[in-house]
Amino acid sequence: MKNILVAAAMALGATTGAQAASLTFAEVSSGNFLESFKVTASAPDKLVLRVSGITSQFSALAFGLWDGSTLVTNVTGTAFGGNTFAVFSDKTNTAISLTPGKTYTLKITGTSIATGNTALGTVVVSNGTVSPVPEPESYAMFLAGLGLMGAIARRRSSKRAA
Amino acid sequence: MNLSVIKKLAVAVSIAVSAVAAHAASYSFDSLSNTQSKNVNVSGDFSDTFTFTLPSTFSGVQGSYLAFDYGSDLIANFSFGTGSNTLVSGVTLSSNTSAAGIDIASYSHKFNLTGGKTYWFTLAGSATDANYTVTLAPVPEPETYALMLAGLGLLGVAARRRKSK
Repeated sequence: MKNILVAAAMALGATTGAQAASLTFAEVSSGNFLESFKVTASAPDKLVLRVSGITSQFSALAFGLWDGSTLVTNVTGTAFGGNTFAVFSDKTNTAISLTPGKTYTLKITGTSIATGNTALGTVVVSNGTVSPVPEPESYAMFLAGLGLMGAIARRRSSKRAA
Repeated sequence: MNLSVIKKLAVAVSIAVSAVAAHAASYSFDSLSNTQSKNVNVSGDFSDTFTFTLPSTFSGVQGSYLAFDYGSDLIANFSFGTGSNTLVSGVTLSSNTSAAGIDIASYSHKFNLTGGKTYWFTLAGSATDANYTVTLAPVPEPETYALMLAGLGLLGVAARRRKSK
């Protein structure tokens, strides 16, 4: 099941120069999922990106950073101290250099194991921005639901007339 | 010097001391009926306090911190309690330096709590340029699961009866 809610929150450093943008994604049911976001770097060789969740809610987390249809990097998550996270740093990874201002697609895959509770994952970008990608599937699902309701209503009314 | 001057002086000193903590913020999760998380940016010394009330249908909480320091000197201590009672104190988060050259501190624990009560927890330490995420997931009482399953079963039976009719 895909995400239901994306709560975006820009977390700004209160008193200091430290600034990191963050975004939360929610998984309401257990199982594998895929979430997509847009990421841009604000300066060369400075972006740090991490995706995380608590291990009791996410048994696996990984992400791919895409430039159009080209995969820039793939990061597999690790579990440590009760949290599962995947991290990429454009500062320390000399093999990769992101172009500032360019939009990359962040594709997060994982397995949610939340029982009786919503699993909340977090995306944090330092020296860059992150924003949600509107999902065509949600519109398709909405239309399908609407169509189904219409069909049921039609069937009911025709039965009554007969 | 009379007594009131000394008192005033003492107050002034205590204010000055409390101002030393660079980042001392308070955050509220209100009533914790579902998983909630918060991201905070810190640099220098910090001491941040979070409060939440556990609804009566829950018997505990899975509390978690994940802190990333883009510098290298992350120190973070965790304490937890209710009112003036400290239940857990001074838990230093497990920390390591990842391959990406970032200091990471991580801690997660399941606390058995009383539903309807208000709790607080504090994360205090120092960092160069850090961002931390706090996630709180309420743990449902076993009866809640049983009730949910019973409800589901009832729905199934009702659907079956309707079909056979």
